[in-house]
Amino acid sequence: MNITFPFKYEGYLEHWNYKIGDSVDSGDTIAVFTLNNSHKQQVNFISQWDGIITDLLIKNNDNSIISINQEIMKINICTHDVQFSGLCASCGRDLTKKRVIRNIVDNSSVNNSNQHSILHGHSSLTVSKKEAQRLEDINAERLRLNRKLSLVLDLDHTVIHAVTEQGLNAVDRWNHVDREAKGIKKIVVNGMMNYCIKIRPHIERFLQRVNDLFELHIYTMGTRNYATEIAKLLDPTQILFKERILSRDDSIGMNFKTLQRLFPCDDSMVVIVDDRSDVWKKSRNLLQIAPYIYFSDVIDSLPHERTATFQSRGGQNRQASQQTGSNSNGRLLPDDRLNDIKQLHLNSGNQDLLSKLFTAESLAKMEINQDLIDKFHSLDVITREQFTVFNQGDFVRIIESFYSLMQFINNMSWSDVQLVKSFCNSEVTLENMELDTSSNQILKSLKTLKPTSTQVQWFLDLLKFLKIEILGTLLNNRDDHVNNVDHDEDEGDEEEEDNSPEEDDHHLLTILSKLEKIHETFYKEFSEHKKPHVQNILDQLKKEILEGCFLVLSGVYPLGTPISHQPIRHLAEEFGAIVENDITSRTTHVVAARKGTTKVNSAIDKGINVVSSQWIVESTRVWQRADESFFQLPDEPTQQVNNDSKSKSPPTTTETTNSTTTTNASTNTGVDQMLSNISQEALQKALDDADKELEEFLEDENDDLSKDDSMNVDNLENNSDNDDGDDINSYLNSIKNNNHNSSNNNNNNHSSSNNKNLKRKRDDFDDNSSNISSSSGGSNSSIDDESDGSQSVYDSPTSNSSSGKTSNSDSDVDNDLQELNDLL
Amino acid sequence: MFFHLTLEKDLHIHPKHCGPNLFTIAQQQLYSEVEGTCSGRYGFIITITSVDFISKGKVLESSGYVVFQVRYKAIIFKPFKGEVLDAIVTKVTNLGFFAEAGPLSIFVSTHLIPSDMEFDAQSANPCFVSDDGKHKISKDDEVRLQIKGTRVDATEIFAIGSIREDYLGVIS
Repeated sequence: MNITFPFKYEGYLEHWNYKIGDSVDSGDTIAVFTLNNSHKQQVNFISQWDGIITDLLIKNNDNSIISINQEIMKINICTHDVQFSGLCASCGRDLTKKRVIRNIVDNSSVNNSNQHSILHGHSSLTVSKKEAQRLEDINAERLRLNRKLSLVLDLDHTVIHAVTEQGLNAVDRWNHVDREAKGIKKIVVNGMMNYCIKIRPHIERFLQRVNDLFELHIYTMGTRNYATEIAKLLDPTQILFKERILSRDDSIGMNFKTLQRLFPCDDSMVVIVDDRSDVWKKSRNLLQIAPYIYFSDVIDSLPHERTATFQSRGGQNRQASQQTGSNSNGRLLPDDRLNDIKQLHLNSGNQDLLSKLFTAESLAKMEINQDLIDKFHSLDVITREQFTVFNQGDFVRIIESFYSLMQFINNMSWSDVQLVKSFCNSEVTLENMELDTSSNQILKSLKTLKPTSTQVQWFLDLLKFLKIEILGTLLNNRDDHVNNVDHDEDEGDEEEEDNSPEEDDHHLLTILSKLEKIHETFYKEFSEHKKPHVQNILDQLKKEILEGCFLVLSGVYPLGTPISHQPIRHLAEEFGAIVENDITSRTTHVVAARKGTTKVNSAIDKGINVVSSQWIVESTRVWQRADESFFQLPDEPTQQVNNDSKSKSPPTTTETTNSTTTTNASTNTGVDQMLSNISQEALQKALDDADKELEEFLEDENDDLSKDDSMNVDNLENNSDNDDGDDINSYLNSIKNNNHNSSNNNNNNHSSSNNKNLKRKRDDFDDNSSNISSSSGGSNSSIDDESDGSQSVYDSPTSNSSSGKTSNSDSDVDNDLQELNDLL
Repeated sequence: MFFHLTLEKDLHIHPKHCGPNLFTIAQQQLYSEVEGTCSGRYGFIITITSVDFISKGKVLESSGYVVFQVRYKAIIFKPFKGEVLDAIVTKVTNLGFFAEAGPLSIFVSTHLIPSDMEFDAQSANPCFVSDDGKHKISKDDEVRLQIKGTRVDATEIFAIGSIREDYLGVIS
C-alpha cells in the first residue's frame, strides 16, 4: 500500500525512524517531518498500520519540499485476517495488547466483531470476514465440483437418543430388557460418564446416501468428547464426519446454534437437520425432523442439559419462596406462571400434599420438564404445536398421568376431572380417539373419589404446570409409547401400541428423500446457471405439502385475533396452504377446533373436509399431507350444540364439562351419559367440600374475621356485580338453580365465589391457549342444561348428605370465604 | 528457551501437616503446586531441580495455616520470538496447522507455510502436501518451526509459528 503525505501543509523530512524491511506497528512514529507553515512545526508521522515497510520514497537527507498527497512510502500491511488466541497468525503480533491503541487509531480491520470462528474444533482461531469469504468460496467451489452440499446434523433426538446408564437402570423395565438385542449401545465419556445410546432406525442408510450428496457436519450441544464418541458410534471408520464436529465447547452460546459459526458468509448451500427449530432461531435452512425418543420412560436429561436445567430450577424455587406473600392476580407472564403456581402451593399450606407430589421421582421429572417449560415458553406456538400431535397411546399416557395425580389429590369430582380434561383436551386437541376403555376406568375410579372445588382449583393450577410435563412426557412417548403402562387400564388399548413402535420411525427416510430432492433441485438450478439457494428450495418444498389447500379456520382463534397471533395460520401458509376467511367455492378444508360453528356446519353441508388443526401440524411433521380421516373433529352431542342462544355467548367463557364431553362423546356415549349425571352430583359435592378445603387453604393465613351469612350474601352480590361477563352470570345462575333445592344459601355463596375463582384461573388458561377459549363456546349452555335437567340426581341421598356435612362447617368457611374474596 | 532459575514462593501448609514430616510434605506440596504451571512472567515451569531454602514457618492467625518462604531452582521454558523449536503437529486444518512443543501450543497459518505446500481436503487424513508430493505435513509429524510471535496469558502462552524459512519444516 502506498502512503501519501498526510499533513495539511507542505513540509520536508527530518528523518525516518525505520528503514526498508523493518516492521512497524500502529502507534509507532515512522518519521518526523517539519511543516512548511508559519512556525516551522515539527510533526511526527505516526503509523496507523501494522506491517512491513517495503519502500521509502524519500531519501533520509533529502530536504526537498514534499507536497500534499505526495507518496512518501510503501508498506505491506498485515490485516490480521487470521487470529489465534489474540495473535495474528501471519505476522505474530499480539493483538490484545494493542487493543487500547487500536481503538484510538480506529483501525476497523482489527475489530473483534468482524472475526469469525469457522473451524469446527478450535474456537480460538478466528478469521476476518474477508478471509472467511475467501475460504468459503474455495469450499463452495470444491463442493460444487463434487456436486455436494453441506449438511449440518444435530445429534440428540435427531439421529440418536441418549440417556445416562444410571437413569436407565433406575427404570425397572429396562433392567429386564436385553439391551444389546435392542440395539442399545453404551459409550463412556471422560472415563466416568456412561451413556446408553439408541441410534435412530435407518440411520445407516441415511448417512450413506446422504454422504454421497452432502458434506456432513455435526453440530451438537453436547460436549466435544461426547460428540466424538457418538460420531465414532455412527461412523466407526470416521469417513463421514472426519473432524467436522462442532460441539458445545467450540460453540458461541449455550442456548442457540447458528450457521454463522460454520458458514459466516454464505449459507446458500447448507441444510440443517435438527429436531428443534427454536435453537436455530427459525433459520430457513432448517429441515426439521420429528424428535426421536426411545427411552421414553427414562427420567433423565441429556448431559449438557442437566446443569442448566438444574440451575434454572433452583432459581425458580428460590424466586417462588421469596414471593410467597402476594397472590398476584390478573394476567401473568408465562414465565411467572410457574412461580405463581408454586406460590399457590405454599400459600395454601398444602405443603404436605406438595411434598408428596414432588417426591424424588416427580422432581426428577421436573428437572427435565423445567427445562421443557423454559423451552416451551420460549417456543413459538408453531413448535409448541409439535407437542400436541398425539396418538391414542399418548392419550392413555395423559390419563395415566392424571390418574396418578388424582391419587395424590384424591378428592376429585368427575365434573372437575372433566374440567381438567376439557382443559387438557382443548389444549392438546386430541385426535378422534377411542377412549372408552380408559375413560371408563377413570370414571370408575373417580366415582369413589370426593370432589372439592378448591382442590380442583389447585389441581388445575397444578395441571397448568403439569400440562407441560405431560406434554413433555408425551413428547418422550411420541415414538416409543406405552410399553409399560403399569396400572390397570384396559390392556387391549396398549397391546396395539406394543408392536415395537421404536422400529416404526421412518422420519429419517422422509428427511432423506427431502434432502435428495433439495440436492437435485439445487444442482438442476445450478446447471441452468441460476443462483440457487437452499432456503428457497426448502421453502418451495414446504409449500408443496399443503399446496392447493384452501383452508378456512373456524373456532381455532377467537374473532379479532390479529393475523400475527395465529401461528396455525402461519404454519399453514408456510407450507403452501392458502387461508381464507370465508368458505368459498374453492375451499378444500375447514380447520376447526370444534363442531357446531356456522362454518363447520356449512362445510359439512357442502361436503368439504372438516379437520382439526392437528391435521396441519401433523402434515408439517411428516412432510406430507396427512390423511384427513384421522383428524376428524370429535362428534358433539347435538342437543348441546343446538341448545339455545346462550351458546352463542363470547367464546372466551369458562370452559366446562362440555368440551370434554365432546371429545369423549364420539367414543362412548355411555360414558358421556354417566358423566353428565355424575357431574351434577359431583358439582354439588365439589361445592361442599370446597368449603372444607377452603378452610384448610386459609388456615395458615388468618384466623379471625367471623362474619354472618348476610355478609356472605353481600359478597356474593359483589362478586356477581363485579363480574360484567354474561358468562359468569349464567354460570352462577346455573349453580343457583342447581343449589336451589338444597335451600342452602351459603352453598350458593361458596359455589359462586369458588367458581369465580375457578373461572379466573381458567381465564388464565385462556390466555395460555386460544384453543381452550374457542372450544369452550358452548359450555355455559351445557351447564344450564345439566342443572335444569338433573334435579333428580341432585336430590339423591349422597348429595344431601354432603350438603348437610357442609353446613356444619359453614361458619368457618364463611370466614375463609371472606378471606378469599379479600385476596381476590 | 530453557532457563534454570531460582524462584521463590510462599507455601501455605495445612496445620495437620505440622509434625515430623513437615518439610518433606512442604517439598511435596511445592512440587505439586508449581511444576507444570505457567506463569506469565517466567513461562512454563517444567521441573524443580532443587529446593534450596525453606524459611521458618509462620502461623497465620486467621486460618492456622503455616506459611513458609521457599526458594527453589527450576527449569523454565519460555518461548521467544524468533526462536526455532521442534514441535509435534496436533491438528491440520485448511487455515494452517496446530503444533505443540511441550506445553506450548503453536499455530502455523497457511501464510507462514511455504507457498508450494497446499492443503489437501480430499484425503482421509487432512494434510499439507508440497507440489512435488515429496513433503507432507499431517498429524503427529515432527516439524521445526520458528516462533513469529507469542502472547502470554496469566496461565497460558500461545505462539504463532512459521515454517516459511530455510531449514524449517518436517524433520524426517
